[in-house]
Amino acid sequence: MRRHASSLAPMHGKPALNYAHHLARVFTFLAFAFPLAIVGWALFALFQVPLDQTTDPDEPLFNRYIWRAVRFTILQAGLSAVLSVAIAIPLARALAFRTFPGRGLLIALFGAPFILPVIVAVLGLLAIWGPVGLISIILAPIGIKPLSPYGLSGILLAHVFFNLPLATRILLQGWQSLPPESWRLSAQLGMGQFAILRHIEWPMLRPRIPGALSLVFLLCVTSFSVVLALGGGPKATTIELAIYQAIRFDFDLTSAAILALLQIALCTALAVVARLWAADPDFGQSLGTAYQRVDLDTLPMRLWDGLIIGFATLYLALPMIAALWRGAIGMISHTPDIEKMLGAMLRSLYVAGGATLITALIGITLAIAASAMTHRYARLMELPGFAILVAPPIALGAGLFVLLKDIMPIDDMALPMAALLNGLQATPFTLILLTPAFRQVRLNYGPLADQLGMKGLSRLRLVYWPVVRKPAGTALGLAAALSAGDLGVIALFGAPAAPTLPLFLYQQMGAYRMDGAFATGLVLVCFALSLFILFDRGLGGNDRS
Amino acid sequence: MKNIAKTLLAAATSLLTFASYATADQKPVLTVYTYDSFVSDWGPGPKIKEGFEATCKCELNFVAPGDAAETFNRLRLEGTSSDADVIVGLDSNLVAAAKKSGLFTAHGLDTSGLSLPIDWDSSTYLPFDWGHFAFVYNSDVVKNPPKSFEELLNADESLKIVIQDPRSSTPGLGLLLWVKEVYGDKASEVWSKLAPRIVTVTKGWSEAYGMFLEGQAQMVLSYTTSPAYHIIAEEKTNYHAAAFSEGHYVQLEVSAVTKGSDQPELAKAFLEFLSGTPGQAILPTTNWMYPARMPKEGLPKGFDNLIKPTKSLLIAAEAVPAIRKEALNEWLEALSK
Repeated sequence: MRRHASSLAPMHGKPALNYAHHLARVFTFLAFAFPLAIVGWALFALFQVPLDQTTDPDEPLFNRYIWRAVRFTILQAGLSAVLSVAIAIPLARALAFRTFPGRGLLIALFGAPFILPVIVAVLGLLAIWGPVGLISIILAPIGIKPLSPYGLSGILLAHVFFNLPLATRILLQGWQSLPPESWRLSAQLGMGQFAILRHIEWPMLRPRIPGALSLVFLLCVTSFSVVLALGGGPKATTIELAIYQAIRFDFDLTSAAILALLQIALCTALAVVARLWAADPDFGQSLGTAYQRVDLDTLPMRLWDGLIIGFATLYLALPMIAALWRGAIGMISHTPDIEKMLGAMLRSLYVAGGATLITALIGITLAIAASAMTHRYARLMELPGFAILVAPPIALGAGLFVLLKDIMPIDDMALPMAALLNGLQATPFTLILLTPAFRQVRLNYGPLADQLGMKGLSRLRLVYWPVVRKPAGTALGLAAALSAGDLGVIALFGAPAAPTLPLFLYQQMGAYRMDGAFATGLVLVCFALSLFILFDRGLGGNDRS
Repeated sequence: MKNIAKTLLAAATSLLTFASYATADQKPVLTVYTYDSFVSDWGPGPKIKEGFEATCKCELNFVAPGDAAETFNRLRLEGTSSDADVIVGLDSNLVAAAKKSGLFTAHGLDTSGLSLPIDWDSSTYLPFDWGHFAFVYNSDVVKNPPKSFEELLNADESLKIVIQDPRSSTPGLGLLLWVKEVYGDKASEVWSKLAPRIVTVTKGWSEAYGMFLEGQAQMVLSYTTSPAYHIIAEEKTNYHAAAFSEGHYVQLEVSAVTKGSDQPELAKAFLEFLSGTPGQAILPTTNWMYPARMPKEGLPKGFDNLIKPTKSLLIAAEAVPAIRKEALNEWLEALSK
């Protein structure tokens, strides 16, 4: 259905600009300007950092180190994207055409890595791929040395773990967008696999692959926790890790500022290229039933599809099972330090609560504003989200730190800053989820509400709320869960004696207290999941329609 | 029903009494920033805490953000608003940066009677132990250990080492300066040649030593005194430090009182404890370093069997920052290839 801008009824019959309207406008302006101001302010601060006498940006050695960091950032992100999408293509195809018990469960499992705290997933991956992990143990009797998943290989393992499900969902959607008639027709025409690939599947894949590739690539360029936990030394250092090291290890704000500006420039370039190159991937919800395809009904193809589904299931499920299982064992064998754990949980609650509040205020306001605009102007409302995308939290955090360090003790700014940056980070996907919902209400009920003269809060409560509560609950639940599990800004600035749950876990990992780390991981997973369910069900309601 | 109400009331009363008790009995807290291995279960931390708390009528609270260089940097990030009263574990190579930070103040204690390998002004940065950096190996695994840097550079490919990041760790920084002192302008080439041998660069000493004990590398950068731990605590004699003919770099570990301390008297008392007789008796067999004040009865027995470097290397504290920056760039460049 085409939606004409002209069909959008104005919000009110008469331009009666009263006090409430002014307030709403000020609010919208603030929601729009605030993220941009934060980014602009941080950028300004980074440019102001004086050059330390000992850091010469023209120094060839320093330059070469920085360029290696840039190269490694691009290398690992590129490999992660190519690997994830390359495995996702046959996997999505197998899932599109095979029915088997547990298929629905498996597809649901694909959503799990998105909400699983990154650092817990890293623990799980180490339990499988680590030097004392499952695979090393299995391979030991045949004389294979313990694996060491640090450096590039470890980073790739983790990035594929997180992004294979995402790429698969995007591509599976593509397969399911093909009309079922094509399969009947192709069977009647006696088309073989390669003919189908050429005439039906490739035209569907071709516009989708760049989208999937660039999305995974962008996510991996700004991935921090994975590189922090698995990167090994200067050889496996991304720009973000180099910023972290410059601040945490070296108090070298000049290098940090140069690196942060570089990271922002890189992300801007990538985001612009991705926007031009790739069509919007569709993230629709329905991942319905499988279709039958005669040409795939051969034993080798069944084996191949079974193999790839089996591999993916093991690859994704084993680390999660291992993390939870060892977490349970850790809880029993190693009495957790309740006092420390509770303190960490309260701090995480503060970060998650603050972040969710910020996301709610900014995201909902901008979504309402965008839904009232024509598509061209609605795009403008994406700008704050775009600004956050190109100025990732570590770079932004570095800028804010430079700005605030003489005004505010770092211990006081760590938690509010984590909440703020996590909240801003969650804003773009809140907009993706909410803008269409608000637009739909406006189209369906707008004229009626106008006729009934419903305005302001009553309009919000009676007209919008019943429809948008579901996507709003999901969006805020995701924001809460992700910020509860995030180890970015807090790793950079968090007080060592007052950690959040993910930082506490990272500290235990660093001190080789693996039982404790796994136990904390279990608590963190339950914590993040409860927050998600609280918002998703509590706010979104139990209505499953 | 009545019973439940009674129980609840009793619980509430006891909670209230507990709360008032806790506030009434609040002892002053001394916050000491140090490195992670210092406060590990087998490190000096627990005994130092027990010993000091027995006399100070205070609570000693250790905070360990990481290895010593990272710990110092955390203090720099926190600035004068930091909770830290004392830092334990700065070393001679960091003192110039510490002076520049302006975060520490003279302690005013009598520092006579220290037995140090070098001349040292102890008025602000009070030494508590010292050692020589060395590569440690397991003689069951490494049959022909290198006898010099030159031999290490040309050793069989299978000889892998694990080292620490010079930005976050004082042993890592020590090695950086050691190589620079021995090779000067050629240090860059030496790192390039060493790079394929380095299994990984860890954030701190603990991680590196842990990996070495797990068998992930044949040698680890540590101290000439590290084998004493295996001899005394584990009764194992197969761990040794490789003696290098070019000489060994010295590390002097110091503690200092912060300018922003709200417990300056307790902080001073702690420094006195750590560098005095009680603290010095604890350190050799927990931190596995030479004490800053030689005990009357001499060192524990396992220390006799250690190698004794004939040539000590050390870059003057005030010259370190400039040399460090140059060496660090060389190191980063060589190891990021």
